[in-house]
Amino acid sequence: MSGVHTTIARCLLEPGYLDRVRAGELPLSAEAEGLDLDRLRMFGGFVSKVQHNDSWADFPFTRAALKLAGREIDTFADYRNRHLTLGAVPGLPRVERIRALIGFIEQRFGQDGSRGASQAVTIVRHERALWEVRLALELPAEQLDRQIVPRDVLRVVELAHDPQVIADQIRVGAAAWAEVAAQPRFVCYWGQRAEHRLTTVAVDGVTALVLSEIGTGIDPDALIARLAGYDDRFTEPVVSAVLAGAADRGMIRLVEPARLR
Amino acid sequence: MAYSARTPTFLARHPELVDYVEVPFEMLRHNPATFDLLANVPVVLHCASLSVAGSVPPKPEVLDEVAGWAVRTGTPWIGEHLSFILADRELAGPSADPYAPGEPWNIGYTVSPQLTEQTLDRVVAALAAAEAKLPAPLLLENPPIYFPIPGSTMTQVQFVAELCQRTEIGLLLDLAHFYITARNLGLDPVEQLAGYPVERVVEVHLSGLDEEAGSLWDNHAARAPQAELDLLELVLARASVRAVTLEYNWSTQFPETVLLAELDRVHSVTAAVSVG
Repeated sequence: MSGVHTTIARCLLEPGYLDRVRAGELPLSAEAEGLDLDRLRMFGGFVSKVQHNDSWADFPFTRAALKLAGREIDTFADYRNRHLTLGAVPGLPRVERIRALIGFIEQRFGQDGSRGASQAVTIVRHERALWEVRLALELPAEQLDRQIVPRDVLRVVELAHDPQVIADQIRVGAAAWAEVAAQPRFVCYWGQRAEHRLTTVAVDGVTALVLSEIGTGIDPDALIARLAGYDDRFTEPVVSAVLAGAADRGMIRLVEPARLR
Repeated sequence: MAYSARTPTFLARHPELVDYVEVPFEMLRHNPATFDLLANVPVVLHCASLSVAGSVPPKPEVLDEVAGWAVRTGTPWIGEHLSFILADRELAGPSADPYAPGEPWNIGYTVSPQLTEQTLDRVVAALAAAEAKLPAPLLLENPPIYFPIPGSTMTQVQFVAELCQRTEIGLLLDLAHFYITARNLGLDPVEQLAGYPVERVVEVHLSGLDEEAGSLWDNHAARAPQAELDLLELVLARASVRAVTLEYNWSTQFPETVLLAELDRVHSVTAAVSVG
């Protein structure tokens, strides 16, 4: 009895061991002959899924998309080795565990062309941006000596669809969630501490890139230099116009006057 | 109901609806302050640390802690799983895994054991050892079987029936686990229940389940299917069950309206059996 229990435990707990056994690289112990390794893999995924129950409050539609796609446990089965490896890192913050999981889910959906995969990527990116902004708002404001400063947190994400359309379909469990038409967009996720507000703002590509380079604060020379390195469209007048618009909206603060080359 | 982060709020809003809260020992061990949130409601202790069906016993201090919380909560019984959580690491031979060398493997989740005479003997001994130290009786909960264990010589129903012949153990019948096991093994749940020592059932668990990759999986964030309520009715007709626990404790998003509806659903079954 002990031998088969030990084998099961090793398959579930030693990163990579089960994969190597399934691939025929390592033999299975005699007591474990006949063990359904595919189901054992799925059980490992199930355990990892349950151990991430605390993640779903911030990513409800990501989880729903996984379930509607019929691949929730399978995704966690693929994530199991990473989960085990991270679990062995002493003192790893919960935020980093969740960040790793969500990154894996996005990567997995992004790599396959299955039905609903691109819509799932949109939802993952949308919920992660919301989560990251909420996390940043919980931190004290950094006091940086910069000419251009966000008010208070900006994250810019490129999405292939309108996430609200997908979420509305997911909410009612409609299969149409996986068929939502592509509507590419850039979205700025804007968090304001004093107002306890998080707003999403659709922006054009030029604005998206300018705002995404601001980070926690930047000086005009550094901003221009970075943007010019991407594309010679980013001239001083173009960047000035974007910054002025963002400042008018209250998204950034320009230490007067913004000195651009 | 099984404890979740929303339980204190639910209790404050609907104190008349909850007869007791079932709390995991592991949660109390990790966060003893949880108990302070349950000052006005009876507590039933649940446990997943004794590994009664494994070859590696828990450390003595674990049993002491379980006993301590049993006293502190005043629990009428302690639910534990017919499972193994710990396994001999040395039997695995040379291993590249540097994690906790010298320590047994700790799966961190209950796993249905190999069902044999040898396991029966171990469980009988483990129960005796545990009950000698615990101030409240143990109830043994049936785990879900997601994959058969090679070398098993009996079904779970046969195993539990034989265990009840050899001991006075009471049972915690988890109907989600029971249904999952039957379906995953291609068996009829109602037929399986006919052979189960239902007269020993003291407590029943209800929760939801998922289906993926051709198997059923436990899900405490979904509503129990009607099949479980049908099984509950059969159980109540045969046994003097003292408690029915709703295990909807895996999601803080589980709607209160749904929980209220589930309480109504269970009450309708228990009331119908009482009247009948």
